[in-house]
Amino acid sequence: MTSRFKLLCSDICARWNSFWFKPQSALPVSVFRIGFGTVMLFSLLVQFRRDYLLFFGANAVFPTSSIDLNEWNRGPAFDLLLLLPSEDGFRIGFLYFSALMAFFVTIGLATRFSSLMLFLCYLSLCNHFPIVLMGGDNFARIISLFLIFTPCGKRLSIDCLINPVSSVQLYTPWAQRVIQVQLCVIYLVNVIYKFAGEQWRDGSAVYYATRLLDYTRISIPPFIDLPAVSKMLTWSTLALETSFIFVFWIPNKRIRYAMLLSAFLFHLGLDFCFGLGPFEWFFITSLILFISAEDIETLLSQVRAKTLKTSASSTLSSTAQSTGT
Amino acid sequence: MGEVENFSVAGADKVGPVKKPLSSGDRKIYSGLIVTFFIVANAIAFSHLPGNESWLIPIVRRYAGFFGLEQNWTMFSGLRKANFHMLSVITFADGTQKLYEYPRMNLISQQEHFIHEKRRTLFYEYLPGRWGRKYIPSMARYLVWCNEDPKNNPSIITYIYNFADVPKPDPRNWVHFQDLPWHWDKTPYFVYRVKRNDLLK
Repeated sequence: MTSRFKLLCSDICARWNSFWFKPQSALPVSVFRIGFGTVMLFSLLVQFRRDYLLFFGANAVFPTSSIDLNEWNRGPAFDLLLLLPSEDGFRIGFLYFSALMAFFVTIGLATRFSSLMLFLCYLSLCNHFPIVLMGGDNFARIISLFLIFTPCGKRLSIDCLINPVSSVQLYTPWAQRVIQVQLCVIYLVNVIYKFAGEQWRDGSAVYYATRLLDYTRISIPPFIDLPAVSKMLTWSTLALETSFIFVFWIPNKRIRYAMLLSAFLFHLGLDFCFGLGPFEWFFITSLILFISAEDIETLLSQVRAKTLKTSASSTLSSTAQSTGT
Repeated sequence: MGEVENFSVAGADKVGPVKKPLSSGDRKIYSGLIVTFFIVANAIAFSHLPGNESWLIPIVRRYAGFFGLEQNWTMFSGLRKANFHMLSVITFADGTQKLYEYPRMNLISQQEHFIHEKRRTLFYEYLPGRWGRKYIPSMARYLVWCNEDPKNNPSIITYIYNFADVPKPDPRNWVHFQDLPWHWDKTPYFVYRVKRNDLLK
């Protein structure tokens, strides 16, 4: 019994070590970095920028002292904005600096430093005015924290051009795994909350969700907006989200990719129907982490070959035209 | 960009395909951190469950805020059963009144909807709820700042909540999005008397 237990323990340990620490390619997390950085850049420059002074200005709608008392209970909260002079110019400068860091993360310039700065700036923005945050902001903040510890600047980056590294170099993927597991934890927690709610169990959730005027971006055509369809969509949402907790880890690539595609379409559909800002985009980008490095490599080499072929044929045709042959 | 093709054989050998693996001690430290993160993260995530809210949130927020580990994954779990919009009536010293309408997300373009998503979160999710009530005086003061006139300053700000319940889903009387009732219930739910120190000028 004891030896069996020991065997079981060592097996669990081996699996644990293999999952978190077995060296992996940096390619998926590098592609993810580009997607995440782009969404962050867009979020900062489009969403935060327009109402920035209303929330973060020197004369913001709610004073910092109220936020400190009501949200943080006068406890510690990391906020670099408090170190700046209380003038709108400095506050706006801070936002542009954050956006610059997001741009650096996207192109992979000084990646480790820029991802650290992006996290600190974003954390400051989130802590300074936490009452306008959505689930997407919370997820983005956690991603940007763990992105610091990933080798995301080792491929497809300016850093790579300046200081070339081998494309076959492997890295410990624990931070990438944390982001992946966190995504699944979000589905798990959300499904638990949904099951706790009466509307998801009785099948009326989609009916109510599609009738909230402040959320809904499109009015569902009456020929689809039927009681049976509404119930079916409610329960299939629950079924899909429950399956997303597990299926991204299935070794069978066909099943995994089919589920990734369904998750992609699911989030795209939600983004199309409901105005939630870049919320769904963070989820869509995170799906990249579940694509195998070999497949991304194959895709990239195909794109490269196609680009080379196109540029070669255009050069040939222009040369032929200029020589008149 | 900057791939292995750029290397000589000797150069490629230097960087090598395998980095020094983590030692057993390092793996234990990282494992501890990972487990701690997920325990803390889940404690925060579940602090929003009814029953946990009252006692767990103040504790976890105090520490989670510093590291940015705040989590709330209750998205769409309990859906509102009413539509509403808010109005503020600004009454000036001479008795004249001005109406301020908070952003109506269904009346603006898709593009504006996206850009002003943060306003929607504040005015539709936070401010009308029980957590947001404490900020209503600050909101009133902001409206005072926006309407200051030394000759005729605002004296009273009244909040009006206009709402209509979403009809219950009844297959025999199915209400489509286009046929939703207008927000005909109007409730003044907060009256703020402007104080001298609320004025900027």
